[in-house]
Amino acid sequence: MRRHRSGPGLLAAALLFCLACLPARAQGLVTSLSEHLVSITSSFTGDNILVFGAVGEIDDPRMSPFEKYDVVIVVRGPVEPVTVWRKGRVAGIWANQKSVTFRNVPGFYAVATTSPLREIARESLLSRHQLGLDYLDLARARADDGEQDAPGREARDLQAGPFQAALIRNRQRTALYLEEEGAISFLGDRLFRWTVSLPATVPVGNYKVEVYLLRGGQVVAAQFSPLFVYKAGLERRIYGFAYDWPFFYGIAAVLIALGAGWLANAVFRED
Amino acid sequence: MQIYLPVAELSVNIFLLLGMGAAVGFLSGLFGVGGGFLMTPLLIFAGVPPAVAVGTEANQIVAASFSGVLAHWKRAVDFKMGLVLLAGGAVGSTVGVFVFSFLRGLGQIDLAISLAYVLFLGTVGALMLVESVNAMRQSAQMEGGRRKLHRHLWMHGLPFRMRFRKSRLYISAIPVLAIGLVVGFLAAIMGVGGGFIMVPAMIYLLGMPTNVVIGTSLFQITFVTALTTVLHAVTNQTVDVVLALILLASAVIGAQFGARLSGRLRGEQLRGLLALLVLLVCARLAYGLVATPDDLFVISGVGD
Repeated sequence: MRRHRSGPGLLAAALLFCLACLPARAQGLVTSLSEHLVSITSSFTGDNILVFGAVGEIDDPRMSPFEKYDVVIVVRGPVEPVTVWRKGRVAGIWANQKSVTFRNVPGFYAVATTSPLREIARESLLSRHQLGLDYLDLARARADDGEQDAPGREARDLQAGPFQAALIRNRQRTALYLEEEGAISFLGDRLFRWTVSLPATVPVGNYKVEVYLLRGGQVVAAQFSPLFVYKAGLERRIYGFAYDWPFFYGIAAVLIALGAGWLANAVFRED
Repeated sequence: MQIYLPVAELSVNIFLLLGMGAAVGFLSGLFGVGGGFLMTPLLIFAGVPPAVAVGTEANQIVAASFSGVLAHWKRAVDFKMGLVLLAGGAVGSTVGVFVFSFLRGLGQIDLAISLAYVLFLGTVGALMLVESVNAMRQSAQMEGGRRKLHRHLWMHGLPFRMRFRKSRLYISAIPVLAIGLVVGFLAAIMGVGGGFIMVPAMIYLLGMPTNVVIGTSLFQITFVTALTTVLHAVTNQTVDVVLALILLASAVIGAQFGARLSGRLRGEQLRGLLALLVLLVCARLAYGLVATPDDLFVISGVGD
């Protein structure tokens, strides 16, 4: 179960933060989002968010003015620990056998680029910024086969494991992880845009939208903007009630059911 | 039209849920069963996490059984018997929820739920099918001999004998408590009321008269599922009120149509049909356990 929730206080802070950082501007890169707040209500079926920006003047004498720019956009959801199980046959039945727990798994991850990632930059840069599904550092925390903590850099070779591949495959299937190489379109020389689609199952929490401007294999500018996904209205109250006051939530659920049972009996009584 | 279920954290087509509720409600009205054993697997097939399906279904059964108790209130509830069953049920349900929580931590809860279903549905379905086929054969040469009030079994002679006036029984409380316990445990693990186990047990093991069996079992089920709902809400946070409400609203209406039709069918035919249905659900779940999955890896949040 995901436990990330955002209260009204957080929302207010988010709004203030957005106001303070708009328009986002750094070293010749200006970016923004079509919306910074995504509210999940009972009719939520996903959302599309436009990420757009403009490339300004970049004064770097080392670079030729004719060299092309590349843009990489990453949208990261809140991280949470996730356990991946591998099934095996036990007496003819498929049962969960081995597990690996990953500590830093983003609930949502989308990356888009102007051209294939490996043409844009070297692997070291891609993994430093965790650009691309192949370079995600999910930090395997523990495996049930006895190996202990393998954090940070060491996690690199463990990532190749089939467990991480399975996790990413699963998330791609449910549209929670996206990799769209070449999906960012330039309008003219300087304006770029990309639409990221959040599926109905997006986790709530604080998201980060990162826009990197690259040239000649180097990051020349980067711009980060916050994005908040939260449950709104009745959904948020019910969810909050269920987690913050589980006992009273249970009692309320029973009372509602008793009321419904009584109502059904009163309406359909045969006399 | 999609609806977002706040606790299951899923977006599901509301008409699918309403349809499932109405269909299961129809069958429960037709056969006079709670329908939990059909609804929980259906929810799982529809993509609801098994743990949420079980917790939510317990909540829905509270409504269904309470409306049933109200209908039987005056004539046919043996409260004393119900309370003893309930005492056993409370213990069974509490143990069940903790076992559930423990298995969930081990990552084995989905398997446990499926296995429990296959085992119980397979057994009960097969027994019912045999019984109803025999009844259909015999119904031609049926002659009314006088029966004893009930057969006296060895377990009735155990200590702690109690008088159950309404059931016209004077038997040990131990088998009654034991039945309650098993049913409470099943309610917690499987998200069922347990009527399909309790009703035959009350008739054949305790020797209760048939007319008080239904009301008394519904009485016990109402309280045990209410307790189970609260326990699941507290320990596992797996009760989705929105889902429960959608299902019970449609199930109530479906049940009315089912009940109307059931008057036109004969008892043993009904039981035979129900047995086939039970075996069908059982077979589907068994297939899921044995068939090679598309993806050998399963993802779960920590603690799921």
